[in-house]
Amino acid sequence: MSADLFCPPTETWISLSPRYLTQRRLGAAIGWGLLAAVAAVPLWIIGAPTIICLVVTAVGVAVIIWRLIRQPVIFRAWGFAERDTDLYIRSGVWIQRMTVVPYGRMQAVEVEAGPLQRIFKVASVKLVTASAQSDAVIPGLDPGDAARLRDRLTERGETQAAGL
Amino acid sequence: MSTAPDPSNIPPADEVAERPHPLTPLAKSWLGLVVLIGVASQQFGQLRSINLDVAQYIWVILGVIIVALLLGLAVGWLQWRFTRFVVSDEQLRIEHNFISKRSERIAFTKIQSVDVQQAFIPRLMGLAAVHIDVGSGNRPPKIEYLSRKRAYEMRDYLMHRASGASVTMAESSAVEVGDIFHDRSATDRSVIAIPAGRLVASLIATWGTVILLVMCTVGIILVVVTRSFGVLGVVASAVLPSAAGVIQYIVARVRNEWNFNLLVTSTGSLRTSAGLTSLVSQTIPRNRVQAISITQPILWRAFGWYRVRLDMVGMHVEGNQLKADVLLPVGTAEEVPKVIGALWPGFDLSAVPHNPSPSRARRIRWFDGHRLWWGSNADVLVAHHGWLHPTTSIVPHARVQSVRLRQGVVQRMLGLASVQAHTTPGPVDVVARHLQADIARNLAITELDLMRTARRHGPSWLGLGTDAHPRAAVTVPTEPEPGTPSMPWEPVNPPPSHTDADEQGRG
Repeated sequence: MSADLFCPPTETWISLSPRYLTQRRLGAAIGWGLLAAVAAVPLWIIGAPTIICLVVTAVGVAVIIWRLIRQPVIFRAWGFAERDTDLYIRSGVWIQRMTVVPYGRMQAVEVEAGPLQRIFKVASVKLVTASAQSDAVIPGLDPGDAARLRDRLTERGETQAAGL
Repeated sequence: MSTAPDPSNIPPADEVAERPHPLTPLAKSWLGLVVLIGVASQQFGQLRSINLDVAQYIWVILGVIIVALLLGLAVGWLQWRFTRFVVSDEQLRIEHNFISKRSERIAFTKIQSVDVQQAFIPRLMGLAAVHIDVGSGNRPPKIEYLSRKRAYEMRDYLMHRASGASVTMAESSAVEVGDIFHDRSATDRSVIAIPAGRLVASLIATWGTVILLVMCTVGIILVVVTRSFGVLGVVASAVLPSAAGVIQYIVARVRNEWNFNLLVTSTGSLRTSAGLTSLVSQTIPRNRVQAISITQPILWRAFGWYRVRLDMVGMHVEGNQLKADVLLPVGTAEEVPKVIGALWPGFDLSAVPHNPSPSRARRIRWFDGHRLWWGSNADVLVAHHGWLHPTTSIVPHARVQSVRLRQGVVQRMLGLASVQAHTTPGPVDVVARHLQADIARNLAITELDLMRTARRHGPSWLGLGTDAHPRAAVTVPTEPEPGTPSMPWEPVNPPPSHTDADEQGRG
C-alpha cells in the first residue's frame, strides 16, 4: 500500500547521483564515529571496568554499522519527478514524504555545494517558495544535472509564474 | 551624469512642502524622557552607593532629566526642521535632510497599506505617526508626527490613491474623520467592535488563570494544613512570579486589543484599530491575506467565543514591522461569519463538505481524533483539528504555495496519511490530518489541479488579479444570512458518513 501511496504520478522517480550515497556513507561514518568516540574514549582513559568499556565500544560500532547499512535504503527513498506543471520530491524511510511544488510558485531555485559535497562532486537544488514550510530540497545531484535542472525549473517558473 | 539634478528634487512651482507638526520634537523628547526614567530607575541602586544626601541626590536626578530633555528637544527640533513631505494630487515625497540627505518618492500604486500609530504621549498631545507599507524595504517610510486629523485624512487619501481612485486631496479631506478613541471616517462601515468587558473576560478565561487558581488553592491548603512559615515562603515564591506573569500577559493583551474595531473603508479594504494607551490603526490589504484560522479554546466554549487570525504576505518578513495577525480577538458565533464575510465577501464556510478522518485516527490522536475533519470545494481547503484549541484553518486554493503528503510509521500501520497545504509564514497551518491513505494521496494530487485552476479563475471574492487593490464590489452582510445552518466550524460529533447525511437531509 505504501508503495502505491508514494509512487510517482506518471513516470518513475529520478534518483540521485550514486556519489551522493558515498558521501552519505562517509558522513554517517564520521558523524556517528565521533559520537561513539566521545562516549567510549573517556571510559578507556579513566580506566572504567573493561566490561563497560567493551559494551559501550561495541554499541558504538554496532550503531555505525547499522547506519552504514541503512544509507542505501535512505538513498533509494530520495527521488524526484518533473511534470508539466509541478515538481514532485519524495524522501524518507520511516516518515515518508512527498512534496509537490508548482513551477509557478517557485520564487527562486538555488544550487548549492558545500565543501564535502564538492569533494564528492554533488550539488543540491533548493526550491524557494513564499512559504517557509515548503522545504523542497533535492540533495546529491551531479553538478551538471543540478545546473540543468535549475535552468529548466527557472524557465518553467517564468512561463508559469503566478502572483501571490 | 553627476551634473544633471535629480528631477524628483525639483518641486513643481505650485506644490507646498509641509513639515510635520510643530509639537513633534516635544512628543519625541517626551518619549526620550520615558526611556530615560526607565534607565535611571535601573541605575538607582548604583547611584545610591555614592554617598550623597537626599537633597544632592534630588538635584542630580533633576539635572540629568533637564539635560536629557533639552538634548532630546534639540535633536528632535533639528530632525523636525529638516524633514519635509509633499502630499499632493500628483505625488507623495518625504525628504530627510538631517545630517545625510534622503528623498523618498513613493508611487501611489506601490502603497500596500498605510497605518496610523498613536503612541500614548503623542496621542495625548493629539499627534499621530503615519507608516507607509510599500511591500519591501527594511526601512518603511513614515511621517512623525502629524495632527491626528491630518494623519487620518492623509491615510484615507493615500489609500484612495493606492486603490487607483482618482480623488483629490481636497475631496478626501472633506470627509469627516475619527477622534482620539475611534479611527473611523464618515465613509467607513463598522463590521465589529469588541466590548471591553468581553475582551477582559476572555483573557481571564485562559489556561494561565486556571493554573494560577489551582496553584493558589493547593498553596492555601498546604499553608493551612502545615501552619508553617517556611511552607508559606515556598508557596509565595512559587505563586507570586506566576501571578505576575499571568497579570502581565493579560495587561499586555488588554493594552493591544482594547477597543478593537474592524472597519470596511470606502475603497473596500479592511482596517483594524485597537489599543488602550496607544491607538494603532492597521490597513489589511484583502488581496494579501493568504489564509485564516478560527479557534475556540475549550475554556471559551461555555461563552461561545471564537478568535480569528490570518496569514498575510510580508507580515513576518525580517526587518519589517511585525503586523498584528488578528482579525477578531474574541467574537461570538454570529460575528465570525461577519468578519470573514468582510474579508472574503461571498465565501460560505458552511458550503464546504465535512469529511471526518477515519475512526482509527483516534489511536494516534487520542484527544482530537474524533473531531478531525477536512473539506475541499472549488475554492478552499479546510482542515480542523485540536483538543485544547480546536482550530479550523481555511486556505483558498489560489493561495496554496505547495503541498506535502506525509506518512509516519504508525500511520502506515493504520493506513493513514496527512496532507499539508503550505502557506506563507504566519499563525495559520493547514494540515488535513490522518486521512485514509489513498484519499490523502488523491487529495494532494487533486489539490494541485485546484490550485492551478483557482489561480487562473479564482473565486471573485478573493480579489485575484494584477491590480494590487481589487476594486470588486464589496458587500458586507451586516446580518447573518437567514437559514444558515448552525456554525459550520463546529466539530462534527458524531461524524456522519456521507450516506447518513444524505438520508437525514431527505428525511
